[in-house]
Amino acid sequence: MLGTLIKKQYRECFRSYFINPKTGKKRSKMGVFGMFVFFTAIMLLLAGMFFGLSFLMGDGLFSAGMDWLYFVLMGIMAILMGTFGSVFNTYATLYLAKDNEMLLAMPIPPSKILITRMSLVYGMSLMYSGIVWIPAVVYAWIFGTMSTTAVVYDVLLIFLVALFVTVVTCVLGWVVALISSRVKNRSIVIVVISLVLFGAYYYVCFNMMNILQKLLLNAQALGEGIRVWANVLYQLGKAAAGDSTAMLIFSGISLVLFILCFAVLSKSFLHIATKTHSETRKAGKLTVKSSGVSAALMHRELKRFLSSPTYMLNCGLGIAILPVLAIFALVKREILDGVISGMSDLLPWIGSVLPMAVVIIVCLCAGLNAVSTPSISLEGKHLWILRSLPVSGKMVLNAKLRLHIWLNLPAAVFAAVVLGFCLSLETLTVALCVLFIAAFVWLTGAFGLMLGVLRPNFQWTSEAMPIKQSMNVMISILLGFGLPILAAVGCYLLRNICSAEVYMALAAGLLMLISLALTWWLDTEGAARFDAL
Amino acid sequence: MLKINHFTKTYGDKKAVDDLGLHIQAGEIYGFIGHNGAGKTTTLKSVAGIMQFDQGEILVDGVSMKRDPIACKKKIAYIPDNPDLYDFMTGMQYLNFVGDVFGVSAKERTERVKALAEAFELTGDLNQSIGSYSHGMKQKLAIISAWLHEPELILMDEPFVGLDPKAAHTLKGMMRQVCDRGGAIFFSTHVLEVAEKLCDKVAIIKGGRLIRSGTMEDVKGDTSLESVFLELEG
Repeated sequence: MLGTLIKKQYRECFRSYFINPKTGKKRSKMGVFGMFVFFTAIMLLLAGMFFGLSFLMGDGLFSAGMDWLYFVLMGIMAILMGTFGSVFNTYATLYLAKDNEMLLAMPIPPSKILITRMSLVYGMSLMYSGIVWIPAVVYAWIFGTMSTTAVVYDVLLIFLVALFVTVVTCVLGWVVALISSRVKNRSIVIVVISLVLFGAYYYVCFNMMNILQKLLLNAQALGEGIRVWANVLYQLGKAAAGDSTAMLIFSGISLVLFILCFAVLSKSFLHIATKTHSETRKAGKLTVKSSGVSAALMHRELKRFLSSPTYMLNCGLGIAILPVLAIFALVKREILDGVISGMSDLLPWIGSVLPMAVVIIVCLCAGLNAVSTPSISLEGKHLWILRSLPVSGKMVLNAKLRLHIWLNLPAAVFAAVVLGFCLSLETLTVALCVLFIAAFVWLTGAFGLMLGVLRPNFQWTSEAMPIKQSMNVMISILLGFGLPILAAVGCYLLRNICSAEVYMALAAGLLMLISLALTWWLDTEGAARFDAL
Repeated sequence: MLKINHFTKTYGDKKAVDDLGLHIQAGEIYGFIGHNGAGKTTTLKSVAGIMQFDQGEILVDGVSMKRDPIACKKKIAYIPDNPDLYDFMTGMQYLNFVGDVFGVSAKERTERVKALAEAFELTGDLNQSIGSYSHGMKQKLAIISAWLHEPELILMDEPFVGLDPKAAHTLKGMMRQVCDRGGAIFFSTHVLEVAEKLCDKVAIIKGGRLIRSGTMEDVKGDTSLESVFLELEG
């Protein structure tokens, strides 16, 4: 039975890679191959980054004979990466699957449903932690002096580290579920908790660099500190370096923690999974609020966005980051000045492209926001409502695009104006930055919506699928990252031909033209396709 | 009110509905019966403008669903067999959304919501999230939202499933009122006793083809609708 459940869970997860969600037909071999090549390329790119980091860390530590400490540090990064990558998804995966009730109605013990869900969390943890851990051990094999035992242990540790990560993320998901089942405005609470975790993650990351610096200066003492205060990690490091006793200890700890975690979660699984949708009866006056069709559609989109923590966190994180970034820049203005003056010494041309830096920083954050991209797939089983109402596909798509712009633009403009002020940019320059950013937000929104129309997926049982495990969202975010970088390269290459201001005005004009073309497509072909869904 | 001429809908190679023709006059309650998979839901969804079709014509009050779907939908309300409503809204928010789309004024909306919610005993639940509703409560909300803009034609797919006896009784009364004010009802059902008592006309569909239609008296004659249905389906 368990095998069948796990097979169903993974089949559902990978379904969109093999089956076209729109037609329900199998993808062509070339299509499947293309998707896997694309996915592998992204994984290799990330793995390459961590391989580079392994170089930085490993060089000093291996020569100092502290290979175990190298593994501890890379292990911490793998755990952080795994936790960060999976935690936002875990709550939804464990407790909010649409087929919970169907499975609970079958003669399946709830604990088996839970272990099935946890297996998917494990798969995600394996992927995210593996991106860090595998390059780290490959580096160690190539440049360190590793015994055969250490090599075998390193391979086993790929799976054990993922198990450790699964425990951490499942516990966090459980805590979120417990809190959210006791409060009103559940979605907002989950987002706040997640953002706190997100902030803590970056705080740890920033401080980790300090730890690393101290470590290189005083590796012996810090190593001793880890051995005393974080013995599990010490055992991980020693095991990876080939210590059999440490391997036994770390394996034992990981397994015991997993069993404990499973026992605790399975006790409350049924209660939480079935309580999620219940709420206390709210009395009160019925409020009739009248508005136009356009506003009603827009309000509906906003309600949908605010109802889902998964949606908000995965497709709207930049909205929260942008004001924080702006305020941080304002508060730490002297650091910013120091960085720029330092860079000016190394790169004399930096001053001439400084306005572009504002644009890139803001656009990279705004590029994280793919609000419009999954919005069509998220209609799911509710699509009949729109189809039966007297609203055209054009009106629906317009509402989705407007929400994307309305959510992103104020935060992006605020950040651009504040950053412009911090960098003492001219008013006209700031205005041009805002123009470029507005065009960028429009473009990413229209492009994401186009992807949503072309490749909708209504066959999902967890909303994490069209949001987090969606190729559309991945492509949107890649565009959000790629476009500002491309614009920056263009600005650098043309710095002797035109000023940053002229470049930004021209680039903004180009982006607006493309956005206009995309919007025209959405209004015509896109709307017709939507009506035919 | 509704004219369906030579309506054909195929899924791949399979004809779900084949050359269906039906005329529903204002003031009529028209029942649509047939076995599972006969093509009832496909027909209703196509009339509601949810599903595109291959051949034929659907006219709502003389307006073609293919040529001007928005104008047709303004005259229609549709209630599906399984009302999956927006879980992220409260009942009242959903009614406000539907009211806004159909341009129902705040005054009319207030009056109608109050009356309909009281009739279905849903007033106390309208401020709750739809996600917490039972199937029957969702069905009631779908009915209230369908009646909100006083449509001329109401399409319902198995409307009595999930309703408690009192709500079912209320709905039957409301269906008759719609017809009395010049509207029309086209609904599918498996409950033949209800169809027999409630409908002015009935159509029986089998394997996507219309096999009998007409006034209730013409179709059932001296026997019961159940006997006729079983004989035709057999």
